[in-house]
Amino acid sequence: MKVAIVGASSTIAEAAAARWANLGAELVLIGRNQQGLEIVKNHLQIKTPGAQIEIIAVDFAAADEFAAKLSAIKSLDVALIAHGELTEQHVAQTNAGALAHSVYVNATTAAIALEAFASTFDLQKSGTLAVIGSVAGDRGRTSNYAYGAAKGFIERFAQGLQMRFSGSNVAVVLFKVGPTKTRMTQGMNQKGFASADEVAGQIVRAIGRHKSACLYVPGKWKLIMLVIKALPTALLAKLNL
Amino acid sequence: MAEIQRRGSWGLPAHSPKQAFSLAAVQHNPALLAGDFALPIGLGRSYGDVGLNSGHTIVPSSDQNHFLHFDPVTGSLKCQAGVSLAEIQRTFIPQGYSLIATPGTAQVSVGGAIANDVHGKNHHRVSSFGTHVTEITLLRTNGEVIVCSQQSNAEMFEATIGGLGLTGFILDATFNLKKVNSAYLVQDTLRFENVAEFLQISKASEQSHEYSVAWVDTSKRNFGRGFLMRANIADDGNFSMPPAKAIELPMLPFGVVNKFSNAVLASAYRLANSKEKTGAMVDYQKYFYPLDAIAYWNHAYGPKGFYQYQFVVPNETAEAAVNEILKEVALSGNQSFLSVLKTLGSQKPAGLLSFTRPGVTVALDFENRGVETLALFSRLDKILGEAGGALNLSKDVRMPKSLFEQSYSRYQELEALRDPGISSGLSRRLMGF
Repeated sequence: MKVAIVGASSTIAEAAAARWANLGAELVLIGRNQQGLEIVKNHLQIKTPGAQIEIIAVDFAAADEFAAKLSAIKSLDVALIAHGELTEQHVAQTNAGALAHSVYVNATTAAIALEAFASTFDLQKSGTLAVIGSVAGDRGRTSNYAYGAAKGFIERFAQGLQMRFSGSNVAVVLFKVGPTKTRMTQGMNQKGFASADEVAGQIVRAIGRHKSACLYVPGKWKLIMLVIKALPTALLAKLNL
Repeated sequence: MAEIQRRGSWGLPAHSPKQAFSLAAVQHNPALLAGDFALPIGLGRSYGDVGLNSGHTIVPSSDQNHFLHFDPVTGSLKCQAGVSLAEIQRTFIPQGYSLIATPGTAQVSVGGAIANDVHGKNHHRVSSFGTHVTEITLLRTNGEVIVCSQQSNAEMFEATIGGLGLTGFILDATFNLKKVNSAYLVQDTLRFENVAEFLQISKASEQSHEYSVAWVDTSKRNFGRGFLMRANIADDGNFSMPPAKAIELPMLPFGVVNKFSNAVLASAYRLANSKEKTGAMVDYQKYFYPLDAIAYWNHAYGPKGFYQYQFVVPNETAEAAVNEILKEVALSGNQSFLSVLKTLGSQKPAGLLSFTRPGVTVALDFENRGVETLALFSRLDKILGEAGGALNLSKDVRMPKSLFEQSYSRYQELEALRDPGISSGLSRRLMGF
């Protein structure tokens, strides 16, 4: 099995990579920081001696080159798009550059990666295309709508891909991940957050089922978001979530 | 930094640092720390205030958790400071390597294990964790990076082992693992009726067994009785482990460990282990880390938390002093359910402020009953001071300064090597800043 991961030095992606390496998968780790990728590769090869790992450093700003690097990866079984940046809402509200960057990194580059791998899987007529979204994408809320909107965009995009590959041997899986203890959230009060390893375990298992789906991780967020989505706007605004 | 997590230590729940920066962020830009005292922190398993920095900056190493290099010929491992001992054991035991010295929980970071120079059930054979460290990369708050070992920057190396985090941020460390041929140990359980008998069995076991640790009763009726669990690593090539799944204890509104439950628990524990057994096969997690099976077992003590009183007394005074302290505890009615007894080896400590020294160590856990508990400790301190003993700094939150200065006589040597931008609750309490 060959697995490509975009954003491979993110906490959840790294935990998933460790699980795949342990299962004997060949890994292609993709990210923006060459040195960070090398540390992860080294770490995984110490954990699983003999693990087959390739790294590819990319520049998100060069969209065509980024897409070309992803398209060049052949004989792929799984692609997981796991990169993201948490932009603080108050910064996005006042700093146009930061807002543009947030949308570009969280939404645009995810879409570019999804399309690149979709073409590969289309040609192969098989594969599992997975992307990490967020519960923040389910409804615009005062505290995080800049980040949430970008994650919501990913959901629409994944939905479209699911339609496109419906009835084929290509599966498209969207993970709506709840608050997790990662580098991205380490400035927040992480009380009650899921562990990255637990989240990664559910992601790896779900991808192993090779079935298109939209899954909340951990599962309890399905119920919580059902309630949040159903709340009247005025009430939700008052709750200031 | 939007909101700072309220972080306590293992024994004390409430604590409010002013701000937190990740070690990666500090490494990238040490200027972040300008104008405040910072403290490197690991996984928060120290019981007292050695890892607390109320009102100041904390720098968790949790995102620096990668292995950097492993040499399967020599067993030498280089890793970042935030790697947990659990991760090391989980990774390397199936590959036939194990930590040489490991404390009773694997939920500690490599940085924390070095800074507190922790020890384990085989101290009599292999000394403490710091003994097996060959190199440390240290980041000072002024941005300077110091690579230290016994060969270069040896003073800083010795001060950093057991240095309570006060010499700088450990970025990575290199240390030796040992070859093992099983994930299991062969364990004997032996009963003893009193401290003298414990010392006798323990001494005999040191020859035949690498690992040895005892549980001792502190109840009024049976104090001094207990059982010793000694073990050697098996040689059966069996590395298959049952999946580790810890049950998690939520924070309870009140403690469930108290006078009454302690007596019941102690009796139950004694009964369950009262049968002498030889040659039982026990997996390494059960033998080394029995309490890791219950995540947040400290929550059993409720929001007030608990104290651990861990002391060491020299061999010459050990029997009398341990007896006297157990008796004092028993008579006070502050029974300790978890009471661990162990002999320490005679090797020279690895660090300037290492706790371990030749003698006998006892660790007692007490429900926090306020002044009553503190008054008991004062009485115990007196016995300890007269016996020439010391308290474990990584468990302490209240030892008198005089006892610290008497039992950690090299503390002034550490002061000269400290990082002026680093301080902790403990260092302010016992060393003035």
